[in-house]
Amino acid sequence: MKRSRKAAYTGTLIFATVVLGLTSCAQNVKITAPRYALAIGAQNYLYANSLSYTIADANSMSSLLTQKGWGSVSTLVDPDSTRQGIVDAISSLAAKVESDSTVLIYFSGHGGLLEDGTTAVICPIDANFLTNSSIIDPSTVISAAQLQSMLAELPTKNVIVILDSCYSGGFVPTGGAIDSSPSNYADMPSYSAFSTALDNFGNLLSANASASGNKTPVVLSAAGSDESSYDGSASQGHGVFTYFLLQAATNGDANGDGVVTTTEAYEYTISNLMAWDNEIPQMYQYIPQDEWPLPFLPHLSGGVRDLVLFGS
Amino acid sequence: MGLSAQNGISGIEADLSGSGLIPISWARDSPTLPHLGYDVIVGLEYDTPFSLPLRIEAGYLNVRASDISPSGELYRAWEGMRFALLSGYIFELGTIGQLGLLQLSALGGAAITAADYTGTALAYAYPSAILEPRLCLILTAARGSSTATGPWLALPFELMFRAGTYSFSPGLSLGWSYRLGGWE
Repeated sequence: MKRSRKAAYTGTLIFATVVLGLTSCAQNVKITAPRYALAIGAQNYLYANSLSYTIADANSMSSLLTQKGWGSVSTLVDPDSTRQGIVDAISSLAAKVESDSTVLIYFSGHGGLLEDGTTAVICPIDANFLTNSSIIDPSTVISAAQLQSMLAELPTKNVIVILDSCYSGGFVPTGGAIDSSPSNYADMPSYSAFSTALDNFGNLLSANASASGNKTPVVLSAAGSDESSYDGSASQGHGVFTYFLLQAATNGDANGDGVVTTTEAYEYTISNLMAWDNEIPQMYQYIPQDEWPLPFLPHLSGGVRDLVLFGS
Repeated sequence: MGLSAQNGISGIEADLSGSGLIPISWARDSPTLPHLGYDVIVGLEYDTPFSLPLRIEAGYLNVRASDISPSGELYRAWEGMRFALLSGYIFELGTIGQLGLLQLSALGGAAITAADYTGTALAYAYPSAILEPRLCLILTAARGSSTATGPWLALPFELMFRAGTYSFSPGLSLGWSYRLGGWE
């Protein structure tokens, strides 16, 4: 009896020592793998209304990423932000990237839905609308499936996609999770992730079992799959989403570890966008209500993995 | 007869515990990285004859984001509610002086957790398998009272199956049990 008691005490002591040892080892590591970014701004559209701040978005994002430790940052803006220009720029990354590299694709510009009403696309400056119609010619835009196919050619699984465009939630993979923020925030201005989890327990367990997890890109979108994002105002000088995302680089380090992950950037951006959404009636009270921007919220892909966005 | 009955200890127990956790997450082609976390659990246990306990647990779990790999990868933080069913065997280790009766429970079982990735609107759920050796002291001072109480110390191990990723979570758990009906 005494022997078993002694063994239990000894086991407990050893375990406590291991726990304390591992805890002290739990420190952050400097990122040494190469990181490549491509920031795209599409502003002066050939066949659609032009935007105001998307080139500024891309330029500011490029500068910020360079400051925050990204070794190779390219910027693609008008007149090169055509469909072919974007395809070529992503393809050229495949030749440089290594298996442990991280790749970031940032796009600021128009987004839309194809004629089926569900397929989200991003629109290069040469996106073509069929004659006398708001229907987009699918051969002139890039869909989520097409972008995923291009990214699959990269020799790394560490890919971040950030889209500041309308309907960009259609590019966000679920990764075995349910996004409890609505696809159109104007319809349902509140949500609870935890009650969503409890309400959908069975479905989530099934989705968890079938999720492959670590191959899909980490995607951060400005808006839901049924929402418009907003091009911003002169006081911001950027799209509203990008305006807050850029601030996340300095203010979004929620756990104080010196870097901002995509999840932390999302957390910072969504809280500020919710505040902005709530201020719309005050900010725009001097213009007709039907010209107010509709509220919208960013969305984040599901899955267990995350990647460092700002910091090294 | 089970040990509980032999010692005049009621077979029904309620307990409250807290654990410090060091989950380690990994996935195919991805790094293995540690987290830190904790849980708070309420348990209800019925010690059947033949020393076979049946136990249900409900608790809150909170795990921080993992360390960051040299390639800039990490695993997200998560928090959620965990519901578990466990069973096993109780070994009587004897008395410790005037202090009380020492028992060792070897427990195993399964759990399901409804969770969200911390700071996001993303809800998910996952199953897990649990193994938990537990040392329980039933205080002699509680003998004769309507509720026999005592502390326990456990080393819970949990293997979580999370969306193509695995997390193995060893921990150190401290709890306090209340045996309803007391120790006669």
